[in-house]
Amino acid sequence: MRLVSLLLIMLSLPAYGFELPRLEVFPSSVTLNGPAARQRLVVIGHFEDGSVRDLTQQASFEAVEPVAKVDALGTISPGTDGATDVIVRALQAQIRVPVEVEASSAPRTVSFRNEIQPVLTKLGCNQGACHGSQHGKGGFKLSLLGFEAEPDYTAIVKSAEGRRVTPFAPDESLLLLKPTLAVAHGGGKKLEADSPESALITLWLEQGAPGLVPDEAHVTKLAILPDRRMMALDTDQQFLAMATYSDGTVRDVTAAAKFDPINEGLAKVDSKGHAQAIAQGEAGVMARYMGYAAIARLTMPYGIEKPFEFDSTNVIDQKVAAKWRALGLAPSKPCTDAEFLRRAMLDAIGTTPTPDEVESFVADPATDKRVRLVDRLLDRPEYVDFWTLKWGDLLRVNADKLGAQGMLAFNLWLRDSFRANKPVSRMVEELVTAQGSIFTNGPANYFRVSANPEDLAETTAQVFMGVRLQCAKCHHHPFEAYGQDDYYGLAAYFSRIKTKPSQEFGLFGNEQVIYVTQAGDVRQPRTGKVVAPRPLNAEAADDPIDRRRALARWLNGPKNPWLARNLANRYWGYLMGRGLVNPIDDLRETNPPSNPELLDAMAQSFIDSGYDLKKLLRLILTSHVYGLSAQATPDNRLDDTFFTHYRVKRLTAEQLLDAVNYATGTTEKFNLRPVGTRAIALPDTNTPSYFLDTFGRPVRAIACECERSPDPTLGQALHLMNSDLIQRKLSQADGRLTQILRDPKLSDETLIHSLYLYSFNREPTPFEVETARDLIKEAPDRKVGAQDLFWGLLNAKEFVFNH
Amino acid sequence: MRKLLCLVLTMGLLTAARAEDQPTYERDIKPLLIKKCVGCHNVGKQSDLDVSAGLALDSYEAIIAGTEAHKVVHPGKAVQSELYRRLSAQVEAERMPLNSPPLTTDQSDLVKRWIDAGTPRGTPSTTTVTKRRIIRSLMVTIPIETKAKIDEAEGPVSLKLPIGPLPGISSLAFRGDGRELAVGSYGQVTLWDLADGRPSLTLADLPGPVHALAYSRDGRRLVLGMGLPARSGVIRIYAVPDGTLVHQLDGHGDVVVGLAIRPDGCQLASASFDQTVRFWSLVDGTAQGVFQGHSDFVHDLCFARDGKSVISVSKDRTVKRIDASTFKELRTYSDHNESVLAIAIRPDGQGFVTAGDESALRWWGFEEERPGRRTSGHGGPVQQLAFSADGSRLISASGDKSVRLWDGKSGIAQRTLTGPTEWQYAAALSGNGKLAAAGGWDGIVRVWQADKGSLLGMLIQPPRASEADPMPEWLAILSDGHLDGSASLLGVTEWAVGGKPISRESALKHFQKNVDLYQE
Repeated sequence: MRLVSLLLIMLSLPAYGFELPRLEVFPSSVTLNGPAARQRLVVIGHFEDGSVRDLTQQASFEAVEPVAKVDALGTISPGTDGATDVIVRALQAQIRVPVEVEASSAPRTVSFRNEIQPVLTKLGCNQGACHGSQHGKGGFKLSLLGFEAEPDYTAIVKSAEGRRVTPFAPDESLLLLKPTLAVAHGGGKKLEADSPESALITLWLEQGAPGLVPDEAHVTKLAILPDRRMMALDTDQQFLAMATYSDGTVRDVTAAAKFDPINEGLAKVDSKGHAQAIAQGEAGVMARYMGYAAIARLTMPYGIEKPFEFDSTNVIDQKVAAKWRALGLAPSKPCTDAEFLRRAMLDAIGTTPTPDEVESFVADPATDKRVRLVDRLLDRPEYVDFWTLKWGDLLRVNADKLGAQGMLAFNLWLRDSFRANKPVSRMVEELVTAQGSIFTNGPANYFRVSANPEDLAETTAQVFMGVRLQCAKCHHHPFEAYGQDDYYGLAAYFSRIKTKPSQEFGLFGNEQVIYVTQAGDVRQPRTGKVVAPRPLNAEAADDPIDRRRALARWLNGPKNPWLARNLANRYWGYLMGRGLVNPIDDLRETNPPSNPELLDAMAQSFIDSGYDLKKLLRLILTSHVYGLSAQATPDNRLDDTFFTHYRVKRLTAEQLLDAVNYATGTTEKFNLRPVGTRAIALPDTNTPSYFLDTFGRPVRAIACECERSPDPTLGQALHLMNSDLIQRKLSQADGRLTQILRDPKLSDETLIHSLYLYSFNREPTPFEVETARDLIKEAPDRKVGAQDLFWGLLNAKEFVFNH
Repeated sequence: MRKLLCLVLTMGLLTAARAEDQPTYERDIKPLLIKKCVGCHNVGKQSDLDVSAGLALDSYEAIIAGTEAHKVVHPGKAVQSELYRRLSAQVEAERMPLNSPPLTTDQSDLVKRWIDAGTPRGTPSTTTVTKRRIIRSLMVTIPIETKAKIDEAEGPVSLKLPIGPLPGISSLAFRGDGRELAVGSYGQVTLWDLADGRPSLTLADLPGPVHALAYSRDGRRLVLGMGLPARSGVIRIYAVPDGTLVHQLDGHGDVVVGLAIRPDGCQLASASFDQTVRFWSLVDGTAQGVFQGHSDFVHDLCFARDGKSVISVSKDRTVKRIDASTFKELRTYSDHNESVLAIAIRPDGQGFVTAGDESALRWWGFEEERPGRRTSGHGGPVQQLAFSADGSRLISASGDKSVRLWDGKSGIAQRTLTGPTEWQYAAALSGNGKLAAAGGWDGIVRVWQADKGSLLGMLIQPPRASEADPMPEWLAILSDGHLDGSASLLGVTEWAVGGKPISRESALKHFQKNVDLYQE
């Protein structure tokens, strides 16, 4: 024995150093309630060199008193009622885990809801491709992923003349014979005859297949242990899924929970919760059980922590830099002033700078010139155009549904809101509780864009909360805590909204008036019961006059965690090219932010500012993180998640068209709009424009950010290169180039400088001047040479992208 | 150690030797096909070409028959046989089982050798069915509602027996006069003499649940429909009261759930979970034909009064009329939007009644496009419908845990029979409509006096503790708590009065008596 220990020590020395690791055990204390309770322990060692490893497999376990039993894997089961300690030993270190055992000899009744359903879900019986499909399989239908215990119990125990179970002779039940392939099964083998799952189902049958118990304890929370781990590549970690029940008990549900990786390329996890780190970055392990989900964060550093110089101006810089430190990343250098000017103007007001603006900004010696620039930009009139456009997408301001007058009313309301810098909470309230004519009261159009309670619930969740609720219309959301009750609870707020034609504008004026009635309910389709209005994950809230007022109060109140987070994430995504949560309008527990502390901080700051959108923009635009160069360094080239360098993004359709027009000194004539109307100022997206459509302008049909396509396509490249549009703008008689060339004293150098300033919004480098001069010289004449150069600049990535 | 090694070697040789002799269908091929192929290639899915391509492999005959277009085995020529070719194909898209790991070489060789040997059938495996493991320990509370005063104790009486879980009641049938009630459950049929209040005959060791029972008109034959779920369907015809097996009809691929005897007594039609309706001669017990027009479980069927056609109901939401001599569909009655589980033919020849997952009863005329009448009342699926022979009354058993009586002519609801607390699967009326019986998931049969709707009593049979036990165990209880039963069951009764346990002896002294449920 001693020899073995000695060997172990010797073997362990080189790997772990001389110091014993400090052991940490999850959970740190155990309470087993009932004869069937089990708890597995996970053991982690913290080593002197700062590394952390999972020692569960190497550890040995011993219960001090026979109150509890513990097996070699570290699973504790009850002995007799009482308290004792389990001693965990690993690598010569040890730690004690207090264990309490209660009700160890209480009668054991298997719960269909809490024990059988999770097994069926874990085995995959009720997945969409099998018995969970709309019509079931082989005449046997279960609810998708087992969220409806009552019909599933009936289907298993009672339906089809009770053919699936024979409790008095449990082993002959089809429920066991089919998945173990003792009888042919279209779904193949799903269950081993001698597995713990088979034993559990058999025990349940022996007890007479007991059904649903009213007021039975149900899961109220799921946790995963450990919930965060710093891991070296190719190391592993066992995770535990712990469910809290409504009776206050906490149970180890690792065996029945489903485990999935988040960011599959970085970490993998098997069905038993055993994970492995395979690449650098941040990944997650998601556990799901009974409609609840929990996520553990795994950090696989890019390298050892590097010192870097970065001077924090605000909370964003602090939180982002903290993440870099944890991951061993270092930021790129700040971008140049010209780059910053172009970037900030495009992001804040959708506009490219003039040569004068470039020159004066670059020449300005003040150290706070970037901050002052941001302040100036947010006061410019284009701010109203640009953000009305953005929110027009979100709210789907579109003449197709609203008619020209409704659309304009909605658009003008948005313009007023941004001109006045109306707090988002006010906008939400005005929208959600709007009434009256869609011609005279802009926000009333919210109830025309989505016209029934279901659509309104989905839109409201999507736009203001960033929650995609659509799944829950028909079945329980597979990754979230929402079911049909939640969906129709939200829809109930809109069940008393009616529309009538207006007298004022006559029957043919198509004016509609939105008004509130005192009756009207929604029914949950499965149960057929009327559902009371209730916000998501919250207490029911109603209002005697207009239900929507209660919803607006909740949306803007402190109990709604989503509004501020949703907007902070969206705005971050608009500016930084990637949200902290992606897709930027899909906030859910199972889609965690890449930097939760940052999202929390931004959301808090947004709330503290009184939901002031300009302050939110200012916070981001004035951070040093925003002002970093787009050039990656060897230290951060692998990172595309943690904002170590600015993420380039293609100009949006409207930004690009305006930039082309400004550069070429031309204008656009949009249908029904005055000449010179900028693309960012168009009130809806119905105005015909081949250019805008090609560059991914959304049609505003759905409330999803994905509708505006940011992806470059071949059609876009061809349109810029080959269409006569650019050619026409380059050669137009009153265009920029013609005007510049009109100067008889114009030198090639000045010409080249001008063209660079109008397109790339910066001075050319001497090398660029040299090359461009050669190009012009070699051309048949100067005009053709200048056109070629300008054409080349407008087709360059530097022009088409915001960088 | 050496001995052990030797033994292992010998065993190896023995298995090798066994593998040397000819494979047969029953011994070698059937288990392999069941494991790998039959999930998709079975009679039930034969018409679903996407799944089975029209090939069934769940019986010897089906394998030899192949698909409609071509055979899949050529005895003696494995290499030319599609069955072997598919199992051993190298190209994954052609190889079976589809999207699954291929058979091992040993397994595909076995099929090859079997075909090369001329596809010998062999004899069905004679290994006895492994003894059923039975649970008989759950406490069953008998719902009696009476008060008594015994040994100082006074108040409501409670009776319990540790004999659960009881097998569910899956079928019921009265013999014409109503004195005899046949009760079908899992593996067992009991004939109760209601006047005596005790079983007169028990047919045991039946394969699987008995889902259909039908007496011949003269009351001298009893037909049983049963089978092993998802494996086989069996029909047996017994002479009663002596209980001799007259015929066994094999052919269904899943449990038989409905039976109908032609009014002249010469033909039998059967409905099965295998999605087919089969026709049999009751004269010589031969199979006459199959109807495969339903696309899901066929739950029940009836002969039209002229005996020329059969009406069948199915989970495929249709009601179909089938010609009983050509076995072709005559027409479909479409009105149900959910599974149709039950049908009863009107003895007056005016039509029939159907019901199912949609609980309203639909009253059809044979030639009508839509039901002429709907009567509602049930709040759950209707599992069975039955008319009294005189047509005066209709009974329905439902998953809403209730049993209801309806006027057989007008369809007007008469009453709900009280007592059941569990899902009811089976119901029957005596010929004159005076007695009603129903049973369901809790394994308790209830008998009512139909005119008054009063519960006469309950019949209980626990699963047999031993297959060899010749003595049927039984318990018959009147609604006032008086009871009779086999000594073995009376001996495990547990009594309480007014919440106070009382001795079995004094309780039985008070309650035991002969139980007459017939009440002529």
